[in-house]
Amino acid sequence: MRFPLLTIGLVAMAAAAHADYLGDRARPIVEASHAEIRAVHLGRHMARGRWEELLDETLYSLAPKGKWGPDHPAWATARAALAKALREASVTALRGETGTWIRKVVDEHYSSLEPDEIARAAAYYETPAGRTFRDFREKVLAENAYGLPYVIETKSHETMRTEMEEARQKLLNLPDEQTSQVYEFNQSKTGELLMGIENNIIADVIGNIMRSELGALMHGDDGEAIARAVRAAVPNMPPQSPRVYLGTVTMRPDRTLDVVIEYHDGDRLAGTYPFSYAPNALHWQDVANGVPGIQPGEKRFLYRDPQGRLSDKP
Amino acid sequence: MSTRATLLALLIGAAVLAWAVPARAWDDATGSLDMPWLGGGGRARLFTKKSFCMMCPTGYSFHRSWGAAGASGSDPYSEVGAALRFLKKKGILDTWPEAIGEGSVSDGKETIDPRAAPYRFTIVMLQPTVVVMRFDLGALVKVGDFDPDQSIGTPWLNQGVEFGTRVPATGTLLWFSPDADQVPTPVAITRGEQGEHGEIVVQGKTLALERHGDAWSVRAPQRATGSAQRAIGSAD
Repeated sequence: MRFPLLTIGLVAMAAAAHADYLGDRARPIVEASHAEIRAVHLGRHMARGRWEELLDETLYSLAPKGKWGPDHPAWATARAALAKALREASVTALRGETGTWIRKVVDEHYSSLEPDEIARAAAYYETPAGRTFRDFREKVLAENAYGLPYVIETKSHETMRTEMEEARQKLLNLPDEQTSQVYEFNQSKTGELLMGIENNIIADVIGNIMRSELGALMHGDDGEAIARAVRAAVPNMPPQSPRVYLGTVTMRPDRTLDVVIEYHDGDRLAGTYPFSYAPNALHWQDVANGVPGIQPGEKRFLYRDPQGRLSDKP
Repeated sequence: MSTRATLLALLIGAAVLAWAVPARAWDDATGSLDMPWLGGGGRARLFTKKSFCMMCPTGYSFHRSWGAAGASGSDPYSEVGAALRFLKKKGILDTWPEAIGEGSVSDGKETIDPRAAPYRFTIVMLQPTVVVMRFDLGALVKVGDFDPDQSIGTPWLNQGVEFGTRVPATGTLLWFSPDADQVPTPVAITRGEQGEHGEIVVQGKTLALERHGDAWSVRAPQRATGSAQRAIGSAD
């Protein structure tokens, strides 16, 4: 028994030591370039699509499609309340495990540079030219990710835009010598390599981590608390329904019923299952029972109650 | 004694020992499960058995059997596979769309593309196997109550196949039987003063379905009357 425990212990220590080694090796460039916060903003930018999708899907999980949607008077308020609650949870996650993963990704990729490249890059970012470039880059990324999770801005979007523009002007109006320094570094092998790592690898990997973690927020321990917070903030949102939204039913001129069942997996629309039932088909009546009085050309939402009965009422 | 002779003696000894070790008996794991009927009478029971398996990662293999006894029963997973392979052979399985996000599965013999069917499947009788299909669009997207203890997983579908004698009374019912070469056909329903009744006739046996509120209850199989046998074209 002792030997396996010892082996596990040694492997764990070796892994930790390796992570420390990468972190130590990358530290000068990571700290000098503010690589971590840049990675966070890039990840936020990459997760934007998933964020917007998640907000809509989560609202539909609080009350089904058909009961409400973007046109409902409570929708926008509920979306803002949900965004606030999810962003707060995401910031907590960033302080914990999510932040650790991001740091590891950054360390792993920046440590792939040779020590002399790391030293050269770190030295550049300590110069006035390097700091001006870094400041502009950071502000561009932060402004671009404004309102997205993992950071809660303390300044207005307008203020951040103004600050970004000031940083741009400062960069554009550097003394000639410093402008040359910025160009030379960014077009050097090390500069291009760093930008490639940041824009391609880091952005992709951190984006993936954030997309995945965002989806998990509503399904973890925080999910119910977030749902409660949204309901408390938006009393006029529709109540939860025991019926589950399935999709739509459309009646053709010949009374054939076209059913489109939506398959949502992991808070996203994964695909649809289309079925058609002609008036003489075995299951035409099964579907028609759920949409009483439907007329040719009409389209209705379709729901299923816990007993399995179909209905057009949410 | 040479090394070769020692090795041979050890191998023979191991073989004799393996042969001599009595096969472990089946354990009755039925408990409170709602088991399907047996065509020969009574309910099926579920049996389990662990056996030594040198090549298995766990060191043992786990077997399940349902029927009147463990040894004479059949493997539920194989039974479900055979039922769905029957639907595949009859061209019915492929009329349903491929299940989204399920990929393809190999069961060692063939590559299976799991299907999404607008039905729930319930095995209500064994020997011969009778499967009731209940129309339920929720099955396509895995919506609805599902008791994993009352179901058998299968790579053929994006849902498990249930077993038992109770079926929710929502959605048109069909049934099929691979043993009787019967493709899915509607359950004959009659509505009278006594309520709704359904009937499935297969290989000389009649399964009566009685509606109690929101559920159908499948009664024990009875010998079919002559007219019923002729009407359904029993394989008996």
